[in-house]
Amino acid sequence: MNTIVNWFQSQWQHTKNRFSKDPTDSTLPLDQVSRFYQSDFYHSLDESLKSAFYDGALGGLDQRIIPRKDLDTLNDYLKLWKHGRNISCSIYGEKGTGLSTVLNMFQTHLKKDNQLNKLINFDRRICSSIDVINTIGKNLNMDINTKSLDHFIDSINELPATVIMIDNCHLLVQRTLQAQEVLDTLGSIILGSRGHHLWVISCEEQAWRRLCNGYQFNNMFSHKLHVDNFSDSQIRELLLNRIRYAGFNRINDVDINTVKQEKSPLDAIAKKSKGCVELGLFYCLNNLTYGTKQHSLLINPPLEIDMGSFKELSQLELFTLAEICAHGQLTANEHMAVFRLTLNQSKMVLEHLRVLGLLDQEEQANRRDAYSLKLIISAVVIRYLISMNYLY
Amino acid sequence: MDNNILEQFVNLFSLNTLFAILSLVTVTWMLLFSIRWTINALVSYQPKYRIQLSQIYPVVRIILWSASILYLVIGIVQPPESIIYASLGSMGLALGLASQDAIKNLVAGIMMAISPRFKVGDMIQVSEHYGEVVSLDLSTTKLKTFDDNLVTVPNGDMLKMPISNANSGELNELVVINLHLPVNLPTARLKSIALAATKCSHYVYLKKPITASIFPIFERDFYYHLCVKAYVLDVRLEKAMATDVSERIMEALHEHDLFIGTPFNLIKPETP
Repeated sequence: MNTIVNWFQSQWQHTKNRFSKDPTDSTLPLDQVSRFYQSDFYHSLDESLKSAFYDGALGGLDQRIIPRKDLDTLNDYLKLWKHGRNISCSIYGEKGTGLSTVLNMFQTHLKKDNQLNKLINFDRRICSSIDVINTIGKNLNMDINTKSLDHFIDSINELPATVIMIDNCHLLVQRTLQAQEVLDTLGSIILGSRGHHLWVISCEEQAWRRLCNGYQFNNMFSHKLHVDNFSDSQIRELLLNRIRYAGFNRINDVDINTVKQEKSPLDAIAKKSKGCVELGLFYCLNNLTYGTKQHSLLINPPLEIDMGSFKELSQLELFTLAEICAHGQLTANEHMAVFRLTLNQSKMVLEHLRVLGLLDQEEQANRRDAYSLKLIISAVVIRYLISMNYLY
Repeated sequence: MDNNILEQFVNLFSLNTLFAILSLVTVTWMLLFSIRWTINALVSYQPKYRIQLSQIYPVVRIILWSASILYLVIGIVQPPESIIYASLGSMGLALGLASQDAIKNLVAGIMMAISPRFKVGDMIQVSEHYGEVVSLDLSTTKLKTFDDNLVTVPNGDMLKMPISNANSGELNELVVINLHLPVNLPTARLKSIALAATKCSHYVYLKKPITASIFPIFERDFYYHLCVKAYVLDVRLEKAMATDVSERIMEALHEHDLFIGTPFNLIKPETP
């Protein structure tokens, strides 16, 4: 009976949050989520907690939890390629699912295996055919004086057999006239050399969908590998690991090693995280208080994120968010080209979204003017945009 | 005999009965109101399913009102058979004579709810009116045109007239963009530029195919008729997409210097 009542209460709360314009006491304002790491509360936390809950790339601490099946699949493809099959593979998944981690781990494996490999990282938008040739050529230490694609493909085929990995392929997406040319060039290089080299590319899911829907990018790959979001149990385990690492051994007065995971508050946090590690880390930190006993934590159930602020956004702003999801990131100049606005208008839209706490500005030197979706809220925003028909 | 029936008829409507009738009507109305509110709320929660959700209401309304009227007659008023027949006979005659068109529209409304030719949210063309179906009432259908006019068409007429439905229950819709261009343009390049420019528009639904066809036409002089067909993300963005795509194509042609030496070179779209 209680379960039914709880279910109705949670559904009612969920519905109320979705339709209410004002955040209630039982909801978390979106900007509180996106600005959590700048908040006083975060800075007042123990250094041990802050370092354990670092929201960067998944590292050694999480190695055990990161799904190995994607790596196993890549190894299977590697074996097939070594046996003479023409293989080119794309791996795609939601932002924050660890695509780069999978590629890095695969590279480590290749190095152990003494297999020649090269990891190319697209760190800026690829804008033309020449740009594709230059970027790939430079990374493979080739002489790139040629402007002929056929000649470049011949040269690439003269290199010793290599596993060529390209990270951040979402930077290939662009709603400009040159998009088809860029993708055709990359496609020709991959298709022209995949008998000799093994190509593995990684791409964020929304960008992958855009590339496949608009430009049949999927035809260039013999194998497509979807990297799943983290499961509830993986997130729960990851959080427990980090709490242990921070030196705490009791959660809600229960020993961390005997916490029944099904009844733990971490279970509710894992569920609400929607497979996004960063959101899980946030929920955990935001809902904890220090227990009275030494090395103990009290974790409260997480609140719903209030989506009311989205209702205030204009159509252009919602389209902007959708295009940023599909492009991975957008600079003001790129935004201007996509939406046919003036540079100032584009800057105003992007800045407004940044002020609302939805966007981040890139930290890399060559993309400092690029805006991307805040990782912590990306899963929530993408789901919202899909439900609103801005993404598909 | 007639006086007797009238007396029986008056006796049927005691204060309690009238109160019960009023309560039933109020409850039915409130129920319908809450169903409509729920549907609207669901639509704002999942706009993707706007059209599918909106078609529920007209059918539910007919079912609920029919059930209420049936319960009102059989369950609350409980008239003897003679009264039912007498009332039906006289009501039928009176209504038939006085409101032929209204009854015709009502029957047409019921028929359209049972076997719909379009749904709420569809973009339809009826006679000279083209717009989105915003409500499908029992006797009329309301369309909202792109000029923001609300056109009310009697359901009786709806059944008689040919209707072209642009999206048939889907949120996306095929939009045809026609452009007339000078005949000296290279057709293959023109086609590829038109396709690339169309894909650039954020209104275009890329999951469905985009096509471009070119054929020469003679009218005083030869010119090319470029016809681009692409799907729009949401029917409400149809005009915005058509404008955006045609502007992008013109801009792209200027960018590629394809208008040099043609009168089109003088008509430059204003690029932001």
